[in-house]
Amino acid sequence: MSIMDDPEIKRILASATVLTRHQREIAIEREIVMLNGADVLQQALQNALNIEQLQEVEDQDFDLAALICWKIIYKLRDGSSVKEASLH
Amino acid sequence: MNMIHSFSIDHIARGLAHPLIAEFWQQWQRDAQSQSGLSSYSASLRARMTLSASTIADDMAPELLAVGPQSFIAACFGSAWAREATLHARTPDANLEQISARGYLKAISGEPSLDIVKATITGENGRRMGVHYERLILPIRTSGQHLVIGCMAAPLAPICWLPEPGEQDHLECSSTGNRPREYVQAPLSNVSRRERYVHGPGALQIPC
Repeated sequence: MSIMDDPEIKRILASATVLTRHQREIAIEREIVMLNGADVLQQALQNALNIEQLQEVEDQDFDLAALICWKIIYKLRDGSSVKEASLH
Repeated sequence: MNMIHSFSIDHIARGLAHPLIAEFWQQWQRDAQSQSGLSSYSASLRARMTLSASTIADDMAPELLAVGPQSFIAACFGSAWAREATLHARTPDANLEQISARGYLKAISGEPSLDIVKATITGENGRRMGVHYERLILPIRTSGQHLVIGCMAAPLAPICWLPEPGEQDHLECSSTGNRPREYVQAPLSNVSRRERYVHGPGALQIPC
């Protein structure tokens, strides 16, 4: 299966088309702050694009960086929901 | 045949583990006390480790969150794959995902998993390779107290690219009598399949 067939990625890209880069950065930053996931995101961006912050990425790589960010956000959300479920 | 042999974590304290594995373990122990999360890991360690999610499904290893550019898995599947590994979420080899799952499950439950893996795996282009490595899988708490799974793999032998069916006739073989066929590992990028098989005295040689 191609990456672009991934339903999660399709959903991410669909919303990306109606937002500016700045709006997308803000949306991602908000999620990361809420999830307290800055260090995981930093690690993923460092590995993939050799940058530490989304704001540092060149425009041509922004879509890839944003996709990575959203994948991390979804995984952290999954992990959080497991953590919360196990507390009940 | 694929083989995973698990060892007690005491092997590290007894100096029997690969230095990279020992370094990862020592950092993890320090972090357990300081609880400073991923930022306390050196850049060198972070470039060599992978991070995965802490949930497992369908008996597969958890999805990848980050793959260090100098990690063993990046060497196996290539830098282009490693760069987008967060999007791929899994390695191209479903069998590897399955045989790795047990170690990850152990780490998710809070226990370190130290193993030696010897396996034949398949790359993105369908090319098979023999791999032999030691790996340490550890549960890591991020600064935000998320549980992620860190894995450090240290090669015990160079990656051995296996010939495709029908290709053997075209390969250069060792001329050293009874010694097995020997190949040299070379990166996949920028070299043709033919050029990947080079051997000779003084070159890094891999018994296949």
